[in-house]
Amino acid sequence: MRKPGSFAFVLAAALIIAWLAPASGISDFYVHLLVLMIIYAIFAMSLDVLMGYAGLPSLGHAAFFGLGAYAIGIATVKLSLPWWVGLIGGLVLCTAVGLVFGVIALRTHGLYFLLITLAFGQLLWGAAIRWGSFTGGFNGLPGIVPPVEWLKSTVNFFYLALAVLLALAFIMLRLVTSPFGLALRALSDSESRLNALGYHVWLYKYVAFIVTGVIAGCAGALNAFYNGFVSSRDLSISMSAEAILMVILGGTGTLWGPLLGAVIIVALRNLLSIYFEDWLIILGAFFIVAVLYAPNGIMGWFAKRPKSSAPRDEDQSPAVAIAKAPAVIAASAAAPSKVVSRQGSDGVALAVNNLVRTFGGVVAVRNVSFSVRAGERVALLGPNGAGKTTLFHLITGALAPNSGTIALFGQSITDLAPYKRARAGIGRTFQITNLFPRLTVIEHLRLCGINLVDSRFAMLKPADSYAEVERFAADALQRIGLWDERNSEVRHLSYGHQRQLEVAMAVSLQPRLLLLDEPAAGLSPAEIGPIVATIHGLDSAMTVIIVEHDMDVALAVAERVIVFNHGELVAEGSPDTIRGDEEVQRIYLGRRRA
Amino acid sequence: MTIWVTHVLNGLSFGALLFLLSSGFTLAFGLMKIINIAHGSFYMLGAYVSVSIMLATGNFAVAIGAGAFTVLIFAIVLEEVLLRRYHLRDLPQILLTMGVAFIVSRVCLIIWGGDPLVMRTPSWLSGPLIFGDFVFPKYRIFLIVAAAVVGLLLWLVLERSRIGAYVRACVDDEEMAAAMKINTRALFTGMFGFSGLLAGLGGAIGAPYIGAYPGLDFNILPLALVVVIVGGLGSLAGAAVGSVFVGIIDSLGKALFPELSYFTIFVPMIVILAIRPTGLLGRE
Repeated sequence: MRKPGSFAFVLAAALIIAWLAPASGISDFYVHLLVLMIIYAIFAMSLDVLMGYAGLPSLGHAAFFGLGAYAIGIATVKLSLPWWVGLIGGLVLCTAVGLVFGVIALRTHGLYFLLITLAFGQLLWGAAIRWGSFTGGFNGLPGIVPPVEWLKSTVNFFYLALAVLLALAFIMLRLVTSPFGLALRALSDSESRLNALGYHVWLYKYVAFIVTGVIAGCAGALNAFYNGFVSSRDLSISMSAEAILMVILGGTGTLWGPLLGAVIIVALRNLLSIYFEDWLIILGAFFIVAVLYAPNGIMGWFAKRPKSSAPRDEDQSPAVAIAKAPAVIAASAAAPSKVVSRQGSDGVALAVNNLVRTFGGVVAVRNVSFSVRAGERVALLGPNGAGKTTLFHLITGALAPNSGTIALFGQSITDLAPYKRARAGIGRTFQITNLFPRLTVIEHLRLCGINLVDSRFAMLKPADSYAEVERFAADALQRIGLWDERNSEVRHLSYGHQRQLEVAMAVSLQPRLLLLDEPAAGLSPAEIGPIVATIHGLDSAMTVIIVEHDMDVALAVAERVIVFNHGELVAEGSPDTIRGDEEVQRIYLGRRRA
Repeated sequence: MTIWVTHVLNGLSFGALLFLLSSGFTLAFGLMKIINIAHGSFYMLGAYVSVSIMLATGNFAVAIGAGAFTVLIFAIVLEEVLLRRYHLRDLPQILLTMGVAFIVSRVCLIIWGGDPLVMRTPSWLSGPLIFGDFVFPKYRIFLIVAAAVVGLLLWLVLERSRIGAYVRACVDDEEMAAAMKINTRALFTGMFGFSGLLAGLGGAIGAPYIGAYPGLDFNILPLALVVVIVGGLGSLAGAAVGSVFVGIIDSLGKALFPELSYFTIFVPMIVILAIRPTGLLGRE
C-alpha cells in the first residue's frame, strides 16, 4: 500500500487525459476544473510526503502554498517586477521560511508539532489580512497576469499545469522510494531505532519539511498565475484543512491517493457549489465522514489485507538475488573497514568514568566506572531496576548523563549525538523490541546496508536499486532464516522473529562495540537457540556487552561479568567467580548475609 | 505612569478572557490528549447565544448562563457521538473537531448573519471606575475578577476535591485509574463538557468586550494555542501564566508597535519554544 505504482503507467494515464480532455472539445469549465485538480493535487501530494511518509502531519501547510502565491502577487502587482522574480522569490521565500520555521517546529514532537504548525499557519494568515498595504488585506491582490500571452487560454494553461504535475510527481515519487524516503518512513515508526542505526533523524525531518514546503509553494505559484489573484484564503486554515482531507480521503502515505482526493474534493466543491452555497458545511461533513468510514482512504479500500508469510512477489530465491548482484561487498556481507582493529587505544574499547544519571530523586546510575577491552565479551547482570538499561542509554546517547565521561576507543563520546555514536561504531539492540512496524523485513536490512554504502541521503535513486545492498540484505536474512518473510511488514512477524531481526540488524552493521539489551527476553528455549548462535558467530574482534536475565545465555557468552544493583557496580569477575559470589547470590536469591 | 498602569490592566483583562478560553483547552488536552480545533467555535457559540439571550431577556446572568450551558451540552454530545470512539488517536480527533468547527462556523453565519454583534453591558457594570486621575472601564475589572474566581474554583476542584483527584489520577495513568474503579469514560465526557463550558463562559463574558462575529472562531483559536504553548500544554497554572503573559504583551505591543500588534504575541511564543519547547510550566 505504501508503494506507489510505476511511473510509466502514470505517465501513460496522464498523456491519455491530456489528449482526451481539452482536445476532445469538452467545455472550458471542465478544463478549468482539471487545472484546479492538478494544482491541488500537487499541494496535497506534497503534504502527503510530509504527513504520510515522514509522519509529520502539519496543520499549516497552506502557509507555503500562500507564500508561493503571495510572492508573485506582491512582486508583479505591488512592485511591478517581472513574473519570474515573483516565482523564484516565492520559492526562495518558502525555503527560507521552511529553514527558520523548521528549526522551531522540529524541536517539538507529536501533538506539539501539530499545534505549532497550526499557530504558524494562522500567524501568516493574520499577517496577510492585517498587513493590508502590502498584501491587499481581505481582498487580496487581483491583477496578476500569466507570464506569457499563450497561457491566457485555459487549455494551454492546462498543459503547463500537467507538465508541472508530472515533473513534481516524478520527483516526489523518487523521493519516497529513495533511501531518503525509506528513512522518512522508518523515522515515522521509530526515531530512536533509526538514530541507533546511525541516521541523523532530525536532519531528515528538517529536509522533508523544507522540500515539501517548496513543492507546496510551486502549487501556490501555479494557482496565482492561473486565477490572476491571491487572497488570504490561500494560506487560511481551511486551505490547510482541505489538503489534509484530500490526503486522508485518498489514503495517507500512498502519494497517488491524495491526487485522487484532490480530484474528488475539487470536483465536489465546484459542482456542489452550483446547488449549495455552504461549501464549509459540506467540507466539515466530509471530514467527519472520511474519518468515520474511510480511515485508510480510498486507496486503503484497494490495499491488500495484511500480507501472509508467503512471499508476495515472484518466487525469487536468495541465490538468484545474490547472483544478480555484483560482489561488491565481500562474502562475509560485512564492510570489513568498519571493524577497526584493537590497536590505537591500548586495547580499551569502552571506558566509562564516574557516570551519574538521576531521574527526579531516583539515582538510576551512581558513579559507575568500568572499562571493557577490545574484543572482550562482558555480561551485565543485576535485578530489575538496577540501572542496566539506563547505562546502555547513556552509552548510546539516548540519555544524557548528569556527570561523568564515556570514551569509545580512546575518543570521548560523552557529548556526541546518538547517530554519531552509532557511526563511531556502537550498535545496539533494545530491551523492548524497537523495530519499524510498518516496514518490511528486507527494508530493515536495506536501511543497514545503505549505511554501509554511505547513501543515506540519496534522494532520487530507488532504495532497492543498490545491488550490493540487496546482496547484503539477502545474505543477512538467509543467515537468520527470515528470507521467506522478507516482504512481510514487521508488525506481522512473530515475537521471536522480531527479536531475531533486532539482533540481526545491530550485528549487520558490524559495530566495534555491540550492546545487547536482553536479546532473549520473553523467548522460548527454542527461539533462544538462533540468537545464541548469532552471538557466538560474531567476529571475534567485536566487543560485546550483553544484559541478560537468562543466566545460561549470559554466562555462556561472557568472559567477564559485571554485577549491578541500585545503580552501582557491586561485583566484577569471571563467570565462575560471580556464580560463587555471596553478594551476588544475596541480590538474586535474597539470602541473608552470613 | 498611569498610562502604563492602564495598558497593563488592559492586558490583564484581555488575559482574563484568554484564561477562560485556554483553561478548557488545556484541561481537555491534559486529560484526554485532545487538540480541540473546535474550541474557538465553542467560544464563538457561547458569545452568540449569550448575545441573543441578552437581547431577548435583558438579564445578564441568564445570558451568561445560557451561553455557557449551551456549549456544555454541545461539547458533551460531540464527545459522546464522535470523539469517544477515537480516544487517544490524535489525528482522527483533530480532523473530526476541524470538521465540526467548519460546520459550526457556517451554521452560526446562517443563524446570526454576517454583522458583528456586541452585547449591551448591564448598567451596573458599564461606565468607568474613577480613582483620582485613574480611569478604567468597570467591565474590564469585572473580567479580571471573574477569571480569578473561575481560576480559583478550578484550582480548588482539581486539587482539593474527589473529582479532581480522579482527574489527576487519570492524567498520570489512565489504565491504573480505571483499574481503581474510576469511571474514566464518564470522567472524559464530563471533562470535555466542562472544557466546553469554560469556553462558552469565556465567549459569553467576553461578549460585551469582543462581541461575536463571523470568523471569531478561527481568530480566537490561535490565541488559545499561543497561550498553551507559552504556558505549557495540559497545565492549568501554565494557562494562567500564559494568559497573563500574552494578554499584557498584546496590550503593550498594541501601544508600542500598533502596525505589528498581531505579531507581538507570536514573538514570545517563538522565543519560548526555542528555549523551552514544553512551555513555561509544561512537563517533559
